[in-house]
Amino acid sequence: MRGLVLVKQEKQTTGLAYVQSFHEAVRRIEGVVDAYPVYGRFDDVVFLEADDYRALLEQSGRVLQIPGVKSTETLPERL
Amino acid sequence: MTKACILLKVRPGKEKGVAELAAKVAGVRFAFVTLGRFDVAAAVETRDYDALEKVVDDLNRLEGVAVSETLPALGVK
Repeated sequence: MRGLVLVKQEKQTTGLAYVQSFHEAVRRIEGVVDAYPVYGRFDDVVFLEADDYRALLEQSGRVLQIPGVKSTETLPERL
Repeated sequence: MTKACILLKVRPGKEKGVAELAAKVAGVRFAFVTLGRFDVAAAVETRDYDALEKVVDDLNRLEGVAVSETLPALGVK
């Protein structure tokens, strides 16, 4: 199944160096198929593939644990 | 190349149909029905911003789409 994690960053973590370090960390998470910083209501999007809801929860939790991340909102694929 | 995440809200019952049609729109890499704030998420990749705007228009024209929100990728990596 797929999942989309919408990420908001802490306001002090907006520089290019942070963006690059965040995305290096995100790409090390298992199941991440794409991730990039965006304009709009959120700061970053992370597309995931997971075996099931439990795995997706685990993977989106790892995004939330990256230092500098303020909050995440996960849209799991409806199966 | 420009990437974007396009989030759709659709009329009740239209989720699956919209996701299937969205996946066939040129520029959409994949689309899927979601649970949460939006009903359908589409991953988009186009050669430039003009092409991205066309994808947004094409998705908004799909039968059943009520609201779209586009999160265009920043030009940094």
